[in-house]
Amino acid sequence: MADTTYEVTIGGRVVRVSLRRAQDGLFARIDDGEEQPARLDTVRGTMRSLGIGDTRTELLAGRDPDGGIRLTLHGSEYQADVVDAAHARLASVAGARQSTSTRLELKAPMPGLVVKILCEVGDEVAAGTPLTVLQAMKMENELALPRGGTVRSIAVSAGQTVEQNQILLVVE
Amino acid sequence: MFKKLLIANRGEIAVRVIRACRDMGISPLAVYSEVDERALHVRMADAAYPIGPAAATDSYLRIDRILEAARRSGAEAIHPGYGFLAENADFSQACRDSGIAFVGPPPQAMRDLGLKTEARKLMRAAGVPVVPGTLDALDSIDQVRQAARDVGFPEAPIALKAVAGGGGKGLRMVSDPAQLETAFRQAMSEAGAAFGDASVYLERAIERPRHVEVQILADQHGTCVWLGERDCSIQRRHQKVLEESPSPAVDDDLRRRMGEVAVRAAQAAGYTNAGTVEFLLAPNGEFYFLEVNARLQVEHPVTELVTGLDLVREQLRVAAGEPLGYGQEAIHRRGYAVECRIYAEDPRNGFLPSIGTLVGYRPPAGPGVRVDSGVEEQDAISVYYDPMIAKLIVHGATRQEGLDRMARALREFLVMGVKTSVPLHRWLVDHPAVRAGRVDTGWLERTLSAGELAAVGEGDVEAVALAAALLADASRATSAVSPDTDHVELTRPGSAWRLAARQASMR
Repeated sequence: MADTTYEVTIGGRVVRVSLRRAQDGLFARIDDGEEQPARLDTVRGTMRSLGIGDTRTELLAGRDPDGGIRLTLHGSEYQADVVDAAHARLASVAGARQSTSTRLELKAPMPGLVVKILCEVGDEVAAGTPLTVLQAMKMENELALPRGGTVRSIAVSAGQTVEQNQILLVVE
Repeated sequence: MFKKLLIANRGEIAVRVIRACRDMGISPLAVYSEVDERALHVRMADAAYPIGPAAATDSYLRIDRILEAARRSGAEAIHPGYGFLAENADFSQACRDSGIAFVGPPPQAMRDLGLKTEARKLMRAAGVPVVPGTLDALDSIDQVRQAARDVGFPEAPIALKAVAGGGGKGLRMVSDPAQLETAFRQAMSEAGAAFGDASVYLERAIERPRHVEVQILADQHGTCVWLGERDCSIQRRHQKVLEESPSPAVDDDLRRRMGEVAVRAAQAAGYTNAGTVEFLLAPNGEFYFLEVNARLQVEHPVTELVTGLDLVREQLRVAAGEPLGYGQEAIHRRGYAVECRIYAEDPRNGFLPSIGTLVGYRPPAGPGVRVDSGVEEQDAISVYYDPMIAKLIVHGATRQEGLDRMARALREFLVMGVKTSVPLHRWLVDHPAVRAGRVDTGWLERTLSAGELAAVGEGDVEAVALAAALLADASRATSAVSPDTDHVELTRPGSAWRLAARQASMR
């Protein structure tokens, strides 16, 4: 397989990872850094061992039901969206829907009752702005998104009970 | 000693009590709700009894069903754990009336200590320092104004507190006289909603206090010892986040004085079994009685690691009527211990509770590290119960060694499937104010910001991105060979990288 560059989005930060396959293994370049040998071995289940250059580190990694990749390193969990940079560019040249990473769905993190909707369709919202209030586990929880954009649609209304992972609204 | 003990609880504390039972040759028996049928505490017990649907009010809070399970099982004693029925005097009484030993204090002590105004009267009579304020509930705003003036308001701020209260519910701090009436109404309505008792009393507010509590142990023969303090000043919304012993703010003399006062408080209430006397420690070194927690506390392992005692074993011995068999001079403390409560919540997103399946779970281990947990990999964190995943407790020779070791253990703690509070704890144990021991009960909320937390693990993002790219790339290589094989766990078609992979393989 040819060399590939991936755009990895983690919590609003985009990291470019270029992978080159050679006779003696896989080599990776992170953003503008030095190219280094890289490998990811599955130990069992979600337990992996990552090698970068001469260093190794253990981490958990697996796929989310909604297509992203979830990883836990040094006690912190991360969610990563990975797109092939070449493919993303082609898709945008062809006028197809832009890279899926611009579309953000606010989903209910747990079953609960929608208490309030704090935005309207067409609103420009910033990252971290509370968009709805969900009552669950005896607490009112303000829900926000890690990135900003325009509210495209709102799928629920105040007073409605929702299931876990139900889409509440979409921001683009 | 008892032959069979029923544990009226679930999760990590049920597992903790089961382990003490095994150490002592007692047969542990569990109860469970519908969603807990396969839970760790059920699997570890010798027998388990269903007590109803998932909601706690229909199961773990059902006194009738728990007593029925105890009768069916032939249990001679019930351990209530913490939470649920642990401080319910009616439950303690009902156990007695059924001829079953309740592992905890007698019902009358629980009732007296459960009402804060009663507790304050008892303590004042026994010479235990209480925060200046009223000894009775307040009925009118005029009474509130008068009582406030009596403790120096508005020069000094005051606190309105629920008589039946706890956990910060029905609590209002006031420094502006214009807000006194509103605060009084709010405190009453909140107290009424939370405890079914709207009565409120008033205290002078102690500014920037530390929360320091003393563990005591009292047998039924008049012996009561204190086991040292736990400093639980790092709190968020009145919930403890980190607990340590010894307190960086308590020296030997203060420790002895607080210990002796705690014993006096317990004896004044006719208290037996394990209990905790909570104090507010003011910046000037004065300390005031806050309340007695009439149960085994979440943070009891901190004291266990420092004293070498097994508090559950001591509880069971006391409940069985045995004398402690040792006095204050036999209690020795060694080194330092600290606990982090690992919750399923997202500290980077407003502490939103996080539910789901633990698709990955690898707790830390090794020298000086103890993990008390009620879950294992593939277990679910549900909406029904407290979202605590585990308690991580470490011991070290010194405070610095203990905090360094906690940082190491947190780094090792890998959980995937739910967000956890580990990043918050990692930030905490390295924070200069925490390292210096300069915190009070409001410190965390004043200091915590999204930016500070976002910086935790920032240096790891590149490695994480590389791992994510390698994982996506490996799956793509696989699907190029056999596009229909979806061998990677949790994969669902339609995701961005999969679509990209499909199209690439068809080029």
